[in-house]
Amino acid sequence: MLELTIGQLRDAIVAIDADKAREVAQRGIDDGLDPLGMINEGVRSALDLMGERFALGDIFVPEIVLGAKAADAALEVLEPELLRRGSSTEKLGKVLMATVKGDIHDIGKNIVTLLMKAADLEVVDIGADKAGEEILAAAKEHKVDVIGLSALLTTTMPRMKEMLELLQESGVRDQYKVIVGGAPVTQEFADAVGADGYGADATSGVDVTKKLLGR
Amino acid sequence: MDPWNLKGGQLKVLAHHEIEEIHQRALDVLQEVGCFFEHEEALSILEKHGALVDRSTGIAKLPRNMVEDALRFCPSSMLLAARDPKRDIHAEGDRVYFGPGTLPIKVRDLETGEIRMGTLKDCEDFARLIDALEFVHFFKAMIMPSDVNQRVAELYMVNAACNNTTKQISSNPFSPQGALDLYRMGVAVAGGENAFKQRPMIIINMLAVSPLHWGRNNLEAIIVLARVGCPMIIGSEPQGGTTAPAPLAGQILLNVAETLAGITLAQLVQPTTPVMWGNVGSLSDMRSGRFASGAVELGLINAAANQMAKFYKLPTYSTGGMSDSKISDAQAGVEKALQALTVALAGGNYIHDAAGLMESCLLTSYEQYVIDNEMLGMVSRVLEGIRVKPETLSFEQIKEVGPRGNFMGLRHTLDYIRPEHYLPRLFDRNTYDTWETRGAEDIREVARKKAKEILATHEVEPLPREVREALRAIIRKAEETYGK
Repeated sequence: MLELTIGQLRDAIVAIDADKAREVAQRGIDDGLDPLGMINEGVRSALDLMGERFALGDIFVPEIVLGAKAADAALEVLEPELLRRGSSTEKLGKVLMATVKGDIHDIGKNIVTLLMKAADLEVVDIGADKAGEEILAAAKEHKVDVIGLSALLTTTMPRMKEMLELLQESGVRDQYKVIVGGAPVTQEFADAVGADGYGADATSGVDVTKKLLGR
Repeated sequence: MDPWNLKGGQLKVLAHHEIEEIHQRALDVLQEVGCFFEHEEALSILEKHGALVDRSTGIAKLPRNMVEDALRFCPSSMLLAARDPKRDIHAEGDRVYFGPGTLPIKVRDLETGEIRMGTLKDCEDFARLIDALEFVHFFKAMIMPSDVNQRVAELYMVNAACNNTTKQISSNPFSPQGALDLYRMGVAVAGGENAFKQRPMIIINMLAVSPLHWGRNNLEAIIVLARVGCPMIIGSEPQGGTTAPAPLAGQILLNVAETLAGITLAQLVQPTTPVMWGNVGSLSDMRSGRFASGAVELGLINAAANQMAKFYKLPTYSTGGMSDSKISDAQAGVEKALQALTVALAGGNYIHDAAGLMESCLLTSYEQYVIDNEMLGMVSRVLEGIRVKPETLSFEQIKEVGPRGNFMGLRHTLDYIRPEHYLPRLFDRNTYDTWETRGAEDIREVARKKAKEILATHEVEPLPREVREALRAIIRKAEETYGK
């Protein structure tokens, strides 16, 4: 019974059918099935599969966005049940995502955030045009493991260097791993500013983050 | 062929009723959906003139007549002056000019071939290079200098351009104060504010962020520049699939709405402010979300944008001639040529990104400019078209030569080969054996050598000393005040 439901849940998410995903999840709960099993093997494996296909270029960004929505629809039903039973899912780590000050571009950051969530990372996205102090405050408040900085404008890349300096001056540099990305950002730049990691594209951004978390 | 007298407009990708439809729907977008103006004064100005402003969201909805009235104030032609008046740009009607674009940060080193970050010296060298290239009509943001104060890098870049080319100059501002300082640099080169009014020596561009978001800095720049009467490019760069609808028509509609919003504000601040309609739209490649700068659709989109701008009787700024390739290879050749030809045939007055760019605007090289100059020369020949007159129909010559003769020794042939046949400046038409005997060189290498030769020999008349000093003083002051 559990196997069947897990299969149906996975198929619904891969088919980017949010209504079906929610319906199967609800039926699973009504039948008394273990929500953790449904999340880990139903939702999780669907997102892993979609992530792989995306990296291969078999499915595109809209499918990832819609797939995440379908997964969320199932999780809306499954997570409360999980909490009710007194357990929770274990995430690989917590990431804070922001686009630096002076830069209002966020599409790239949003795509990476989606893929991170699909890869079982917990993500707090505070948005675009964020000053160093705001980023640090949010990192502390949410007790994140990784800070992810994005910029599209070459003119805002210096804010990344300033962020790393701010972490240093505040004495908290070694509490966070810092990963940088965005179209004009390069490995060379990431090394020069002292970042821990660099994502050349969304998929490698997620891989590098997982490596930084030791996963 | 006179490179300074090119005319396009032969290609129409939109029918007249489609242009009308887009226009009406754009007014609907502005009236029903509105636009986010991230600037209190802009919102107040719009509200005072009849916009519905929601200050909690920063969204202003513009009534149709407000936009239509504002358009009436826009001048339909624009003189963009160059240091050398023979190189002035007359942005009007179907006149076509080509130039570089915004804003690569990496360059392929001319000596070593290695990819490195751009420098101030590159800015100077690139300006001098295009000064010598026949089919590149203006300077625009050719390379980001990584070795100067980044907060005022655009001032350094434009200073390098002013000193190293007598062709027309444009730039994006990196801040509102930067916008005003760019204007001041234009004034310094023109020889004073009144001289600038007669002969504006710079045009500055501000774009919205799609969808429907005019950012604080760009709005501040528009207001400040409108007040001093500096010519502006106002537009947007929607990307199909991410920041714009996937269908091309929807993307064009969005650009129209965003551009109308910006132009309306500029005209309300200062009626008759000279504005140029801007479009830099392309697709996002939906496999990654990345900007597909080499997409063939970019040419189509910009051709349509040109038609819309002409419908509004505005001079046009558009895009065409980019590639996603990382090297000067076949992909670069195909992507660039298809785009440049399409947009030129649509009559783009100020076609930027037409030369030099690779890797989605991140990379440039000296040899690519030389290659693109050839490409633009060939595009220019297509614009020239075919002259059908009694002399060119050549009936008399056909009669004279008769069956089984040949035309090689005719005076008529001699007189007409230069005007009628484009002679490649770079591309090789020899046979394999001849080419091999001469060294079997890849055209990239030929272009690289030509670039080196130009940089070694081409001189540009220096600016008068007081102008050079005035420009440097602007940069110094900027660094002291807001450039920290």
